[in-house]
Amino acid sequence: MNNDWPDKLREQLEDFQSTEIPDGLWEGIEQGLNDRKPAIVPWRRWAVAACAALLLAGVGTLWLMHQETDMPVAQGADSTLVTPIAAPSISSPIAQQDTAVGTPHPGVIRLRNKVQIAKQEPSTDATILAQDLAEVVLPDSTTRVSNKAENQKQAYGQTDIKTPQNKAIKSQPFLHNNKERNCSVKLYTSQMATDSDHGMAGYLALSETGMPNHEQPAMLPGLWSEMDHVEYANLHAGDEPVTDAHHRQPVRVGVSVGYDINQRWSVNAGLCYTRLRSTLQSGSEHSFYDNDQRINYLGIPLGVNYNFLHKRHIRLYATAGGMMEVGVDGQVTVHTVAQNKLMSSETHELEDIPLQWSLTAGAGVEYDIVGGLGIYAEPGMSYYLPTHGDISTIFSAHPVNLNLQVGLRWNFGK
Amino acid sequence: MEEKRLIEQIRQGDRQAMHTLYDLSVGRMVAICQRYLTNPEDVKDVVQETYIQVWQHIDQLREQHDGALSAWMRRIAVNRCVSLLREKRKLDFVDMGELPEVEDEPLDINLLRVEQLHQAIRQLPPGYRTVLNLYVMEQKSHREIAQLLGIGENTSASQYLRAKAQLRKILKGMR
Repeated sequence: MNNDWPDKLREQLEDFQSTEIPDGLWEGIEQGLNDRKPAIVPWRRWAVAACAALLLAGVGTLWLMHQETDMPVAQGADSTLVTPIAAPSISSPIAQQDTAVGTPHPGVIRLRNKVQIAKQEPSTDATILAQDLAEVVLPDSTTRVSNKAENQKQAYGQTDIKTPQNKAIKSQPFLHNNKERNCSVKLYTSQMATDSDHGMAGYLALSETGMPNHEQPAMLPGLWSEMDHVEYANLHAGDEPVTDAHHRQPVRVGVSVGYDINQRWSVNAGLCYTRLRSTLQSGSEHSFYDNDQRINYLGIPLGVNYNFLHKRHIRLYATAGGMMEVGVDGQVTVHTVAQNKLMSSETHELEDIPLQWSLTAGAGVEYDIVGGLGIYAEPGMSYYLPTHGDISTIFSAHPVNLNLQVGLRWNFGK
Repeated sequence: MEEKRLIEQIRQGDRQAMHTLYDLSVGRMVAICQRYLTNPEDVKDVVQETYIQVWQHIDQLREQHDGALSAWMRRIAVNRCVSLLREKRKLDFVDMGELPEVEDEPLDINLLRVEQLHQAIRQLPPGYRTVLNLYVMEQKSHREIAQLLGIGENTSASQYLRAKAQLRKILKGMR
C-alpha cells in the first residue's frame, strides 16, 4: 500500500508553473500599479532635497535682492556701519561736489526721493535707519545735524561714493559686522511637519521582534503555521485582518557648537537625542495584535551654514548637513488580544537597531534677543537614508520630511 | 536576479523590477490560483490582486532570506483565493454518505505528468479541492483549516478523506 502519495503530489506540484497565463494579465497589473504613487527612488530623493534647498536659497536671494533694490538706504547705512573707514569719505570731493554744485550724483537723487518719503512717513524703515545712521556715523554728538533729512542725505551720499573702501564694502552688502563673533552654542528641539498613519490589509508588525512567534518566523513552513489566537479568531469570525500603524512625531533635543570660518560660512557639530514611538494594531476590532515600539537614538549632527544677511538683530542663513544616529535602546511590547480578551503581553528588547543616516537642508532665521543670545528657527527638509534592518519607524515610513528646528543660540566673540 | 536585490528595487518603485518579478513568478502564481479556482476570470483577478498587493506593501515584507518573497506572494494568493471562495459561497462542506474505504491499492503518481496532477485537482468539487489544497499543498492541520474555513475539525478531516478518495479515483482514470 502506498499511502504517501499526497506527499509526492505536493513535491510534484510545488514548483509547477502553469502555461495558461490569462490574456491581459500584466496589463491589468500595470493598471493597478498606476493607482499607487510610485516610491521616490533615492536619487530622486536627493534631487528633491537639492531642489528644495536651491529653492529656499533662491527665494532667499531674490528676497534679499528685492530688499536691496527697494532699500538703498539700508544698504548705505550698512555700508557705513561695516567699516569705519567709510565715515571719513563723507567729505570726499565727490560728495562735496554733489552738495555744493547742486548737480547731485544719480544715486543721491534717488536717495533724496527716499528722504522725501521719509519726511512724509516718519515711521518708515528709511527714517529709522537714517536716525540710527546719524548716531553711528557722526561720533561727535555736537556735530549732529538737527535736520534729519540732512543727516540722511549725508549718510546716503556715502553709498554712492566710489572709493576703494566702499567698493569692498559693496561686495558684502548684507553683513553687519559691528561685533565679530566666531563661536556659538545652541540648544534646540526639532519637530517633523507631520506624524504618520498607515493602514493596509493583512497582518503586519513593526519589526520581526513584534511578530507573533517571532523567535522562529522563518523556520515555520507553510501558509498559516504561525497562526495564533488572533488569526484563528479572525478567520473563524470571517474578519479580514487590517493593520493600522501610527508613527508618532519624534521627540528630538540637542546641543550643538558652531564655529565661524568667516563672515559667510560656519560649521557646526553636536549631539542630539531622539525618541521614537510607534504603535500598530493588526487584526480586527475584537482580535488583534498591538505593538508599542519605543526607540532611543543618540545622534551626531554635522552641518554647515551660509549667512545671507546679518542686519541689526536679524540673521538669515541657509544650512545643510547630515547626521548619524545610533539606536542606544529600544523595546517593543506586544499585546495579543483575542475576542476582546488579553491573551498575552510581552516586552522584548529590540536588537540590532540599525544606524540611521540622514541629510538635511533648510533655511534659518535668528533674532538676537540680548547680548549674543538669539532665538532661531530653521525650517528644512530631511531625508532619512534606507536602513537594512527590519524595524519600521517614522524614518522608514516617511524618508523625506519637512521639519522645524527651534532653539536658542549663544554667540561668543573671539 | 538575486531576490533581495529585486525586493529592494521594487521598494524603490522600479517598475522594471516588478515586471521582472512577474516574468519570474507568474507561471507559479497562476498555477497556485488555478488549484483553488476554476473560473479563469477569478484566477486572473486574484493573480492581479496579488501582484498589486506586493507592489503596494513591499515595504512591509520583513523577512530577507531567499524565498521570502515567493512565500509571501503565495500567502497572499492563497488567502485571496480562499476569501473569494467564501465570498462567492462556493464552498459546500456537507458530509454525505459513508466515508471512503481504506486505500488498499498502491497509487504511483510518478506515472503521471505534472499537468495531469494539476488538472486532476481542478476536477474536484470546490470544498474538497480547497481542503485538499490546504492540507496537502499548504500543509495545514485540520484545526487550522477548520478555523480558516469556519468549519469543524471533523468536517475538515472528512472532507479531506473524501477529496483524497475522489482524487485517487481521477488519477487512476488518467493512467
